[in-house]
Amino acid sequence: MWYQKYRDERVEAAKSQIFRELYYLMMGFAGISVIVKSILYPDNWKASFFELLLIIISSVYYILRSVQKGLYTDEIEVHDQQNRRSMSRKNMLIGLGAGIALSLFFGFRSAILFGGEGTTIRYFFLSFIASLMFNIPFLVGALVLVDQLARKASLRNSKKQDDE
Amino acid sequence: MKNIKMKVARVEKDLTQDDLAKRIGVSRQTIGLIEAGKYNPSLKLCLLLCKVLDRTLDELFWEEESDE
Repeated sequence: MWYQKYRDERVEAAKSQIFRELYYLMMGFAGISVIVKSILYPDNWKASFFELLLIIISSVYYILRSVQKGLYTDEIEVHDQQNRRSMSRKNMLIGLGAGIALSLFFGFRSAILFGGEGTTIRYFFLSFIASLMFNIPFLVGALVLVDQLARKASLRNSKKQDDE
Repeated sequence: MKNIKMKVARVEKDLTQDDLAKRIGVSRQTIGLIEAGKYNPSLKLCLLLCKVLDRTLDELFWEEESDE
């Protein structure tokens, strides 16, 4: 009959919610695994290869799909309507925060692994400042660049859907 | 807010929640939650419910102030 192909939207929405939670859980575990392995095996970055691959591929996939469906710009539009701080500004702040967090991580890592008597603080600051100088421009720049490119492509796809 | 109108329309059609769910292709719990006012169906699902229950959207889903 005409209505028999209808799929229960509530069940589909609940399943999507579970997949979303699963994604966060997996990303959390992968992140923790990368941190622990980088402390346990400081000279072997390959130990975290699959975790890093998982994080990078899933993030790239999400961006590509949301751009393809035009959701990326929709999300920004709704966000900017409802929040005082624009998404562009938030992205810059996220880049800044991530840069500081990553630099702190490298600072502590160097201090714990290589610091000895009297050199712990020196190692921390050396590593922290060097990382800060590299990470902040890189992360802020990368986020802004990806954001701008994704916006353009998403807007194009969104308009294409309007025309269809 | 409970959707009494939908429940009445269903009972008048002599359908159980399970019968209605099977006719539309959703779970019985979805029908139960809509009637209990705990789930807001999409327009597509509302239209399916209207067709099966022979009611208009207004008759099933419009909330009069006195309903509150």
